[in-house]
Amino acid sequence: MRRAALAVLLILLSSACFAQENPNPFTAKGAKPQTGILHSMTSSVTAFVANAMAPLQRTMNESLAAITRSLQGSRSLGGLLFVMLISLAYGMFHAAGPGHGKTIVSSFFLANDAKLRHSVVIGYLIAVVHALAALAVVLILYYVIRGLFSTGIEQANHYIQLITFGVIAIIGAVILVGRIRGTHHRHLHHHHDENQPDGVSFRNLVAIAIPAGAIPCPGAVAIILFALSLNMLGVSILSVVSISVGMGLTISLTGAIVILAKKGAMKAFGHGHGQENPIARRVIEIGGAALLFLFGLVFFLAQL
Amino acid sequence: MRRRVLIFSMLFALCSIPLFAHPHVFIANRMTLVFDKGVFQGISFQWTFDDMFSSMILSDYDPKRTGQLDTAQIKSIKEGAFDNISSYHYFVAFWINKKAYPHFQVTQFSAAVADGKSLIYSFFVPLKVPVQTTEQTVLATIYDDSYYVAFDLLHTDEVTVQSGDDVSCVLSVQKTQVKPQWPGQYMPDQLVIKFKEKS
Repeated sequence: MRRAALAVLLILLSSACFAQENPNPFTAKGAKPQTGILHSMTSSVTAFVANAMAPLQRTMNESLAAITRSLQGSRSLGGLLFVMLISLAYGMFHAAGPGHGKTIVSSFFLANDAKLRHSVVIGYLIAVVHALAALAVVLILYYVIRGLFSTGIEQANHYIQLITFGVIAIIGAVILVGRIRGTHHRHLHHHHDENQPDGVSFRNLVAIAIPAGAIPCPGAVAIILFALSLNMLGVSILSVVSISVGMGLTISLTGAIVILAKKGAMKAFGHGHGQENPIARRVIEIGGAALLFLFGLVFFLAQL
Repeated sequence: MRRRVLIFSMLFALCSIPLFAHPHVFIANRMTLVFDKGVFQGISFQWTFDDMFSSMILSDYDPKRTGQLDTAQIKSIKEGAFDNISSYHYFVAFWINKKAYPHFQVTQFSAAVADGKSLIYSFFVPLKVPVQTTEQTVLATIYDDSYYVAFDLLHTDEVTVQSGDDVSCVLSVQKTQVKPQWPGQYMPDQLVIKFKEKS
């Protein structure tokens, strides 16, 4: 039973690991439909939600476009609030889709001894970086390079992904080596400050959040472009801020579930009385670090 | 105990899974079936894009937003934002009399703007099936494997038949025979076109 559960876990996690935001078929030069067993597995696992969500995604897309257009002449407070509300919902749903740093957050929290509040910090750090990256790329293309968005965005994405996945692979490798050598565990670090037991520092969180969020959020890119084409820079920024808040909620929630599940699993494999199983901890942490490393490596190689 | 292990494993797994691969581009598709000189010549497609995708493409290729695309602009749109979908078999799968017809041509590409905001692509796919006294069947499914693009649901009343009095053509919609690449993949219905010489 345990083995079956572990096998299910492993298959799902590894398939999730290889889910990536698809390129735009119309504008991404050389883009092809993804094939292969990993892609099929991921898609299959997520299909039932995808199919149910598509009409909702469409409704949000259309209403956001319509309300932004209607604000072109007169900026009513109600209209602006409505833009913020839809953008918030859009951010929440959008971040639940493939990408947006969730795999990175999950494997990072599996590999490290994190507290619940860390998930909120990292969720919002990623969301902010993610949206700022979108804003930066679009504004640079618009005002500096004055190139074609549709192809420019795909090219910019390529280089950003090359760098960020490389960085993630390196971070993963460093953590992995640390976990395998076992330099992390409490008994080795008991001389540390009580409040900072071998856990995660703010600096660690920033280090992982920047590469995790640096790929511009495609949803935000679409909305900024749309508002810009209507000459509404202010509204586009308002919308992006709201999208970040929504995405932060989803990413934080993801992180929180991982942290709780890790604690729960360590106890479930323990010998009762709420005791953690040290072997389970070791396996989970090495697994998490390996996942982070492989995830970075696979997508780095895919961009070459 | 065992149940707890299972629950925690599932929780683990759930949290890093992308919940859905959402479509980003939405298309309303209209088809015209062209019969001429006793031959089913092919299908003319007209795709109307959603506001956001239209806006992105038009800011690129019609920066002054004149709402009128000239030949040069249409050519750039074709090269920059249409030709690539040949890798996606133009999101169409055909069967002619129970035989798959994967290597079709795409001709007469054009782009236009409607209502000053919606981008429209139109193109023709030659099929060249002779109309005979026995019934011929052509099937068409419009779908995107990557689900980046979502097409409106298929209705026969959105399909126009252009034929003389000598052809009887019956349209219907049924479950597609395109095999999904993975269990649970969203598959739209297929258009069934049955035609023969009018007796």
